[in-house]
Amino acid sequence: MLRLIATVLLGLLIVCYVFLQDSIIERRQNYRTSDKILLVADRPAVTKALALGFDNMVADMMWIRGIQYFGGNFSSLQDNDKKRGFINLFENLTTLDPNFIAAWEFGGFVYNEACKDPQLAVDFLSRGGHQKGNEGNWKLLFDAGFISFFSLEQYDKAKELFLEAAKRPGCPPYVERMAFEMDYASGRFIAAWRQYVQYAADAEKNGDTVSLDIANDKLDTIYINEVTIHLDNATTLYRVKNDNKYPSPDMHELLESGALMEAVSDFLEKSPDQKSVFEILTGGTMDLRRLLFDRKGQSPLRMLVSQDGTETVVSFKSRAVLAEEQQDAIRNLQQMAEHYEGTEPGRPLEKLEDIFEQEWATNIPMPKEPLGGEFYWDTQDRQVKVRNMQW
Amino acid sequence: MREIAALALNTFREAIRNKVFYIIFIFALVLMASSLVFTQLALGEQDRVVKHLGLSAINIFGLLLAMFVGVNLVHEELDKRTIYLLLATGMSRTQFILGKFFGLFITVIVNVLLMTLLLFITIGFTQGATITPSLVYAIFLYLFEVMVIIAIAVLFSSFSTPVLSAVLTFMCWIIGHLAEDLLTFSERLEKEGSLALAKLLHWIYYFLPNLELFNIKNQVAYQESIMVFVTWKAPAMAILYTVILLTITSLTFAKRDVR
Amino acid sequence: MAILSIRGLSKRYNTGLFSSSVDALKDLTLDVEEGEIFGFLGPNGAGKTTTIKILLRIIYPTAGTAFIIDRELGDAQPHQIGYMPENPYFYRFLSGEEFLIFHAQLSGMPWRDVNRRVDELLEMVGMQHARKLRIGNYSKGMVTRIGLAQAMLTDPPLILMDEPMSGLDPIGRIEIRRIIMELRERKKTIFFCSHILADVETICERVAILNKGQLIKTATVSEMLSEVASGQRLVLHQPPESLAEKIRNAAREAKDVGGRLVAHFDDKATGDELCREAMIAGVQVDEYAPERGTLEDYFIREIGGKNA
Repeated sequence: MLRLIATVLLGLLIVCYVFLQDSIIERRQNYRTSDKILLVADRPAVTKALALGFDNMVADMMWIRGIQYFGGNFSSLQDNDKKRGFINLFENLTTLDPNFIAAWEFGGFVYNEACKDPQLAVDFLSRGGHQKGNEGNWKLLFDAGFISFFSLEQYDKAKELFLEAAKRPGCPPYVERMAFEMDYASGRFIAAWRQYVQYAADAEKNGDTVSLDIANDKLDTIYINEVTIHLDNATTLYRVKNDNKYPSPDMHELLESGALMEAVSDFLEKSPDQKSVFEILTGGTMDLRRLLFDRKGQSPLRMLVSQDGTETVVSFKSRAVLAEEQQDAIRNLQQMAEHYEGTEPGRPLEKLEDIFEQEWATNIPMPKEPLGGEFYWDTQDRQVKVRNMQW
Repeated sequence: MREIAALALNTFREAIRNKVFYIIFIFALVLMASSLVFTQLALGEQDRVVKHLGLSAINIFGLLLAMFVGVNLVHEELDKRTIYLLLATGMSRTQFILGKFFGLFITVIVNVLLMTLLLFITIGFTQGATITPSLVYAIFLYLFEVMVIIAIAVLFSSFSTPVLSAVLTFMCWIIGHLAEDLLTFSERLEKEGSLALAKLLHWIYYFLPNLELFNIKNQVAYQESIMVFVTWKAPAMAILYTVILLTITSLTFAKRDVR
Repeated sequence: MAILSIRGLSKRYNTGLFSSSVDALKDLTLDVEEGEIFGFLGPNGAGKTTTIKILLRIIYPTAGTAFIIDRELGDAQPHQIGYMPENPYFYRFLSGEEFLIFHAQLSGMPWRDVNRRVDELLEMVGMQHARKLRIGNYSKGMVTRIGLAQAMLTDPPLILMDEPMSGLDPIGRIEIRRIIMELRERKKTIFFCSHILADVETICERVAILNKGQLIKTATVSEMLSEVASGQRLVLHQPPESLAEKIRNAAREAKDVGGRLVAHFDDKATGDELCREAMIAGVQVDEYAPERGTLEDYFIREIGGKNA
């Protein structure tokens, strides 16, 4: 009997216990005991001594808890105390286990992202990369290089780190490309361009289509960035001469007004050594039209223009792309024209504008000819055609 | 009730006469030596250092006391056959377990209180150090942790040898301080979709005492606000856990042949 | 009325995980009457201590039950049993007085009675002088005496004693025997376990013999003794060879012990005749007396054969 009572009581107690545990788990949402890890031991050497030889295990424990902390409330970490806590944590971790790559990596990330101290991150990461025993790891140096490049804009330092990382085993080829990119980012356009051209040629020779595509994309991006500077300068010139009016989104006005030519000459006057840049960009012809339209790449050029009074960024596309768009537009218009004639038999289309007065097409704007000409309806052939072709 | 009290007091008396309280002298030595040294070394951080050391020492000595006296408690009575006499007086097994538990708990409480007094005195003599409510609360919470540890020690001691019990109790202590990680891990697994494993870990957590609930040592040293931690839930958890363990212990112990 | 009735009590120990079990006690049935001193005899491992442990509910029987003063074992029992353990090993850190007070508290004795009762018992077992001394410093005899005092603390009608005399010197034995006799005068029932036959023979009225967990016999001491063969014993100092030869032929058993001839006769007439002859021959007769059987003889007869 007594036993029965005790067993029933035990059951009740366990139920209470489960409820209490539940509510404690709920409370955890506001407060996590693992936060405390960040406040302990600010002397890594002491921590190492106290670990009594269980260094790696202690490091693992700290790691597990530290990670949980970031999983929980990463965004709330700004103040100085927290930063001190992080430094404690990662210094402890990496002192306990200098070959703990993940700790080095994550430490760099946290210093850069949470503490907003990229210099600290770069120092920490490159220290990790140069730690004895970590010679086989490229990632730490790459991360250090990337932060140098991206956050600190220290391109020389970044290039150095990237090149060092690229020499390490298992390093993917893009790291070397990043090093070339540093040349470009630091204004050394030609060096970067040549490296990428070389890289593309190598890739083509080896039949490495993936690398080839990447290299071409990179070349394209470099090209665009370079040209955009001059487009912007040309736009400024154009506006000065034309009552602050923006040039039209197609680039003919810029070209025809001579603004682009002027901007480039001004630039070359100031820095004649950049002439070779334009030689490269125009394929040796120095014809600035080629600069704008005769590109292989698909990425659009950009510039700030006025359209209906508001300023917008408009993309300029290469001639190849525009030609494609022109063909698309002709196909669409042809279809619409046929539809126009089909809806009311015996009504021949006189001009394209008539289509857009139809009820079903009033909301559609008449497409502009991408290459600067205009579309028209050839009543003889009953075909949409382009006239005033400038190119 | 009276039987339990008599046995508890007897256990306490045994602990005293076994010179268990010598621990306090070691504690005092550690504390005094450290405060002397650190007042010199820890420029401006004496408050932190003294409290850190004091609380850690109280924790460690309390744990050692609870563990090693605890695991010997029941076993010694069996080994020396003194339990025959106790049972012959008509005492029930449950009373026996409770008497032993409370005896040890009293011992540890008295020990911890004496150590606390010594710590307070040390703080009083240390420049720049003050006794804060958070310090008192930390020790108060610690007593609950010890309570759970004692219940665990008594449970193991009721069916296994002292060495094995000590090992098991110590493991429980470690796991208890890592229980929180288990829960975090389970939450992580749930997010990743391993529902079954997450559930399993969650249930394992339920049956472990989360000893981190009673640990606010670090907050004390950094003078954080303790109001975050002041809740009835941690002590309630400890009491419930202890009662459950003691019930299980006496249920299993009642069925056992004592040899 | 039987104060203690044991009915079909069995205990089986499982010795290990896979090994076979051991029967420590097999179907023991036994009655102890009120006011008697009951000897529970048997060699080591016979099951005496197992029986006592079951009665104290330290271990649980595999089968059977027992009634103590009409209460079945397993009832929530008040303190009807005094217990005096084998090789008493009390709390070494307590003084004799503290030990008794502690037990009085455990027994639920009212506070106001405790001191008086403890004084009384210390007086009775002659331990007044050592009441403040720690048990750890007691001699074997003192420990036994304080153990007895503990057993009598609540003045229980039934006292179980497990080998109370073991390890005591002769003076100690006499002292314990005196206390037991005193208890008998107070009409206490004593269940006395022992493998020392001489003690049982002098103290007990009725005896049960146990071997290998089984009850062999229950009888009064005198019944048992009468069953053992008795006869005459003759001891002669350096008898002449002719006489010695004659005695050897007539006696049940005869042997030379240090120049003396010790002979046992079954028949009293033969003994008388030969004794007279020796006296006539001028041989010195050291001893001639009827021989009384001992419990030891009985015990060996009963158990010896079965053990062989």
